[in-house]
Amino acid sequence: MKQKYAEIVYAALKESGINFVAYLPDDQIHDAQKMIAEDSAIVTVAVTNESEGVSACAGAWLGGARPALIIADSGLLVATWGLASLSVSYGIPMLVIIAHRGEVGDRANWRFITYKFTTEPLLDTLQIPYVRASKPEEAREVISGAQLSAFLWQHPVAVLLSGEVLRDE
Amino acid sequence: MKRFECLKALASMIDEKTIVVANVGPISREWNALRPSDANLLQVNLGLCAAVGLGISVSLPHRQVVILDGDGNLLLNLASLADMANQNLSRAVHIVLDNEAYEGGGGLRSATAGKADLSAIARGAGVPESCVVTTPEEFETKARESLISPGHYFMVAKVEQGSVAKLPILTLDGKEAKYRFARYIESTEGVQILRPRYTHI
Repeated sequence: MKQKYAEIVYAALKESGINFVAYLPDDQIHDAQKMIAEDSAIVTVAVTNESEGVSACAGAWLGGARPALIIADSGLLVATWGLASLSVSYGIPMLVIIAHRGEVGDRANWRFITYKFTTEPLLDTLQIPYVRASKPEEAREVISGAQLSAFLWQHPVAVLLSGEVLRDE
Repeated sequence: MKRFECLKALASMIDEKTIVVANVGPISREWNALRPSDANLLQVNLGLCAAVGLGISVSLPHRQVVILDGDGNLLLNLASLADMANQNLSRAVHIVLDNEAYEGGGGLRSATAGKADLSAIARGAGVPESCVVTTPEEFETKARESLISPGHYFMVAKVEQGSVAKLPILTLDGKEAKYRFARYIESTEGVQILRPRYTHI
């Protein structure tokens, strides 16, 4: 991810009022995660398991915060237990930002075709609405819209960052 | 040591504003019988309740948070211990009622019936205060100490399997539990959680 795209994602989260972030480091979205972790106005919880990140976001929302979970598409598989058992079943809102190397032309090796197959079907199965931002100029509106819907619906909403947004060059 | 007796002692020590998060199974039913309150968030599913407590504790660092966990429950997500330790929680008491079994799931043995030592794992994960108690007197002493002093406390209470008769049935589903808990936080903290701005009617 280019620094200028990381800045767009970071600014969109700030503008959306996100003040709590749980994240598991991922190289595709590392620069945005780093900016968030260094922002003292955002409470950040570095998690070692994405389902735990969902739970921390749920607790944070119940405590009055506006949470986002920032993970990789591979981590979505780990997050599904918490998303299904807590966020969806209780109706606890959270913005779920997913770095998704799922587009033809993405610089992703053999490992990532698995997540091309799993990511969108999992979100559909969990009944988590999602929206994609592939172009940097889309990212701000997509993130703010997803955040608004998550908190109005009291339901998790995911943003799939992919394509040019994640590319380094 | 009976779990119900430990929880009864705990219920007599906490004030009405103490937030309690408990995992699914008999712990939630017993706690609800002893301390029914909208400051409780009960029946959180397997492996998730410690991290829910973490999220609440970092969002409301001035509030006392008690996490009532089970051994099987915590074993599913031991990573929570490491991440909680790194947050330097200010008023969190994490109690594992360790009956060495999946009691709510039929009673087969958990890993703590074998070689796993959750107190040692918590200490190794960086939780500053971690102990094991085996008698009601020890439980009461340690629980009281951890509630009086600021910080992050972890306690494994070794308890027998088995609950008590005629506990009230838990009637809340997840959504009602959410509404009641969130409304309670709104009223005691003066924050807006459930009433986001609507763009139209």
